[in-house]
Amino acid sequence: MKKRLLKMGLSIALVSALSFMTACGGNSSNQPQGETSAPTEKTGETPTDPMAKYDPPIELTTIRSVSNIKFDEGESIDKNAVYDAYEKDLGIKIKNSWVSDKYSEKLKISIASNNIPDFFRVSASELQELQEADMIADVTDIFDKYATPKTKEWFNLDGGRQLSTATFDNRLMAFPATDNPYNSSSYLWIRKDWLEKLGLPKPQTMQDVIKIAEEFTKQDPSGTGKTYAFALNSDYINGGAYDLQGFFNGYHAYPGIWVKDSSGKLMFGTIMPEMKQALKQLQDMYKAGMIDPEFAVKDQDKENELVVAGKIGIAYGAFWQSIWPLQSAAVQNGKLAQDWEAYPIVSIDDNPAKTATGIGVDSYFVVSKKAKHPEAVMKIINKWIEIQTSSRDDNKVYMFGKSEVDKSALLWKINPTVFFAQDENLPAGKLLPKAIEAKDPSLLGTNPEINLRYKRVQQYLAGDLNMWNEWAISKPGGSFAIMNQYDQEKRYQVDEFYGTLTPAMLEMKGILGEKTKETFTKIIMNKVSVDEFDKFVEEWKKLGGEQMTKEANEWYETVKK
Amino acid sequence: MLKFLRNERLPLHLMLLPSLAILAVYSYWPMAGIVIAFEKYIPTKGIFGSPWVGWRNFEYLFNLPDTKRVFVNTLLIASMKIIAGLIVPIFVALLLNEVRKTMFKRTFQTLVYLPHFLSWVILGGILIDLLSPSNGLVNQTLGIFGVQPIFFLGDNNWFRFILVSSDVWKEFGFSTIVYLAALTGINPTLYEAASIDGANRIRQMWHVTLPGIMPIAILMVTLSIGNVLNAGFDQIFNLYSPPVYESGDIIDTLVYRLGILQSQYGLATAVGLLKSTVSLIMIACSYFMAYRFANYRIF
Repeated sequence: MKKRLLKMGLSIALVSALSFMTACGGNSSNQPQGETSAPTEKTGETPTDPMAKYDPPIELTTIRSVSNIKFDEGESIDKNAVYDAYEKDLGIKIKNSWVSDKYSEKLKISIASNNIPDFFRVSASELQELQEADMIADVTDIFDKYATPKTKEWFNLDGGRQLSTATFDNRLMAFPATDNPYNSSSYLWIRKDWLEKLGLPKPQTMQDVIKIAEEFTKQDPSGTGKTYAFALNSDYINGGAYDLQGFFNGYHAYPGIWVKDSSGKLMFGTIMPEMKQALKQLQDMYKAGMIDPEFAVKDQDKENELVVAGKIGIAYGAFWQSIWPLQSAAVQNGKLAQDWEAYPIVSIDDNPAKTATGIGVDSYFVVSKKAKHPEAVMKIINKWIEIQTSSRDDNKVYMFGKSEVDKSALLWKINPTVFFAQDENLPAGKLLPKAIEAKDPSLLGTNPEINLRYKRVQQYLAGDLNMWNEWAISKPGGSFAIMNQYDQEKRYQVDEFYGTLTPAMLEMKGILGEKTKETFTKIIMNKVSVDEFDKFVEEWKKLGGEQMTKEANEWYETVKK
Repeated sequence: MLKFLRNERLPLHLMLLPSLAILAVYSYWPMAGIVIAFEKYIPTKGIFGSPWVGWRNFEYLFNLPDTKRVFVNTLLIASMKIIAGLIVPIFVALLLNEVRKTMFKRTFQTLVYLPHFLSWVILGGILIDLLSPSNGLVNQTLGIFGVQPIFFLGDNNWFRFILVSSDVWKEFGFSTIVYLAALTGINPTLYEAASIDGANRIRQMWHVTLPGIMPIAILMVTLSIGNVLNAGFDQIFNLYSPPVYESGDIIDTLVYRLGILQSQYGLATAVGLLKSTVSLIMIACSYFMAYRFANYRIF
C-alpha cells in the first residue's frame, strides 16, 4: 500500500513537471491531434502509471441519460460530487455534451451529424456502425499500456469472451460494459401466501406450474373477481421482468440466443420446434381466459397495476424482479401485502430446465477518434474497477455521493463508466445465505457489494420493509441462492455466439424480431392457429434467417479450432 | 430584356430576392439529399462518400413481406380519414349555421376546436385507458347493456374504425371553422330570393348554402389528396401494437421501425422519395379534375 502510494506520488510529481513544460509550449485546444496527447506518453522510457493524475486537468466530453438517480440537493448530472472526485483524483474534468432520456435516438442524431463526444456508451449495432464509419479509436494499445493489472483481470475473467464481442480483426475497438452473464437468467416468482392459502406444493415441474396457474385463476385467492395466470408485458420474449423466457426454457426452447443443434451446428433458438409446444400451451391458457388479454399493449409498469391489485400470482423474470417491479406490489401501505418468492425454473419433462443467458454484454464504451486523451478514458475505467475491488473509505464518494452514506439513492449511476464483475453474484449466492443463516458477517469476505447486501438484509430483518427486495434476493433460498444452484447443476444455456455482429444480423435482426413478435403474439392471442409457427419458420429462413445462420456458423468454425 | 430592366417595377421585383434565396436554401438545396435514397448511406462518409447502390433500397422495400399490407393499410386509412374529414365538418358547419344563439354557437365552436391542440401522445394515453377492455369507461358502459368487453385497440376489426373516428373527433373542429368562414361569404340576397321562391330551410341549404361552400370544399379535398400516403404517424404510433399490425401498420410506422430504429437511412429516404412522388402525382391529378369538373383554379 505504502509502496504504491509512493509510486503514485512520484509519478504525479513527474507528470506535473512534464506537463508544466508542455504547458509552456502553449496549450490551445486547436492543436492538431496527437501533439497534446497525454504527457505521460511522452515519458517514453519511464513506465507509464495507469492512474497518474493530469495536471493541469484535462477535459473529457461524454453524453448521459439519467434514470432513477436521487441527486443530493444542489447537484445534477452536470455538476456533482462524483464528477468532482474524478477531477480531484485523476485531473479529468468530465463534461456532458448533452443529457437526455431518449439516449439512443439522440445518439443516432449525434452520429449522423458526425458530432460525437470523447467517449460514450453504445449498443452492439451502434458499435458496428461506428466502427464501419471509422469514427472510433482503436483502443488495443491503450488497453495494453494503461489498464491496471486489476482491470485486465476484470475484463478477462470469462476467458475474454466479452472482449471478443468488441474485437474486429484482432483490434479492440471498445470496452465492453462487462456484466455477469448469469444476471439474465430466469426465475419463477410465485406468491407464496397464495400457495399456502390454497394448500398447493412448491412447483417441481411445468405441469405443477400450469396446475398452480389454473388453481390461482379458478379460486381467485385475493377475491378480486378476476385473476390471471402470468404477469406478462409486450416485451415478453426477453424483457427481464414479467417475461416468458423462463417459461420457454422449461420447454427446452431458447428464443433469442444461438444454440448448438444435434449436428453440432449453430441454430437460432427462436425457431426451435420446442417453441411451438410452448406457444400452444400459452394459447390454450389464453383461450381459457387465464392470460391478460391486454398484455400486448402493456409495458411492465402498466402490467404491474394488475399485480399490485392482487390479480396475478405467477411472474417469470430475472433475479432482480423483486427490486422492480415487484417491490411496489409486495409492500403496500407500509405492510408486506404480497409474499413473492423465487423458485428455479421447471421443466416439462425429465431433463432439467436450463436457463438461457446471453454473453452478458449489452453495451460498450467507445472512444472517439478525435479524442485528445483517449487513455484518460482507460484511467476512468481503472478508477471504477479499483472502487469495485477494494473497500477503501476514500472511494465512498464515488458510490454514495458527497454524504458518503448509502441512502439507496443510486448515486453510483453518476459514474460515467460502469462495469459489473463477470462472475458477480455467483459468490454472493454462495456466501450470503450462509452468513445470513449463521448471523455472521465475517463469512462474507471483503467484497464491498456483498457486504452492502448483507447490511441491507439486516435492515429488512430489523423491520425496514423498503429492503424487502434485497431479502427476496439474498435470503437462503432467494434468487441469488438459485443462481448459484443453477451454476452447480450446470443449468446455464449460454449464447454460443460471441463474435461481432455479422452483416446479415445487422440488416435483418430488426425485421426478423418484428416478425417473431407479431407471429408469437398472434398465436398466443389465438388470432391464428398454432400451425402458423411452421409457416413462420419458413418465412424466417427466407427473410434472411438462413443467411444469418450461415454467417454465424462461419464464425463458429473459426473459434472451434 | 432591356425594357424589363428599365421597368420602374424592377426594384419591387428585386425585393423578392431574399425570400427566393431562403426558398432555395431551405427548400430546394436539401432536395439534393434525395440521392441518399440510392446509397447505402453512412453518416460519417457523407452524401458523396457513401457507396452507391442504385435501386437496391427500393428493391429491398418491395421485397419485404409486409410491404403490400402496409401500402393497403396506408391508402385505406388515409382515404377513410379524407372522406370522413370532409363530410363531418360540412355537416356540423351547416347545423351550426342554423343556430340562432350566438353565445351557444361560439361556445360549441371553441369546444370542438380544442382537441386540435392536444398531441397524440397525450390523447393516445387517454384513449388506451378509455378503451381498455378490463377497466375502460367505454367497455364498462357497454357492459351495463350486457355487451361482452371489446378489445378495440387489439382487434383488427375495430382498429381502423377507432383510428378514423378518433382522428375525425380531434380534427373536425378545425375544418368546421373553415367552412363556417366560407358560409359567411354567401350573399344573403340569395337566401331572400330563395325564400320568396318558396324554398324552405332544407331547400335553402341544398340549393344555396352547399353550392356556396363548394369551392372551399373542393380546395380542401384537393389539398388533402396530397396526403393520401400520410395516414397519421403520430396517432398510429401511439395506439398500435403487434396484434393490430395487420390492420394498422402504415408506411411511416414501418419505416420508423426499420429505417430509423435500425439506422437504415438510405431505406428511410427511399420511402420518403416514393411517398413524395406519389403525392405529387395525386395532387396534380386532383387539381386537374377540380379544374375540369368544378372549374376551380387555385393558381
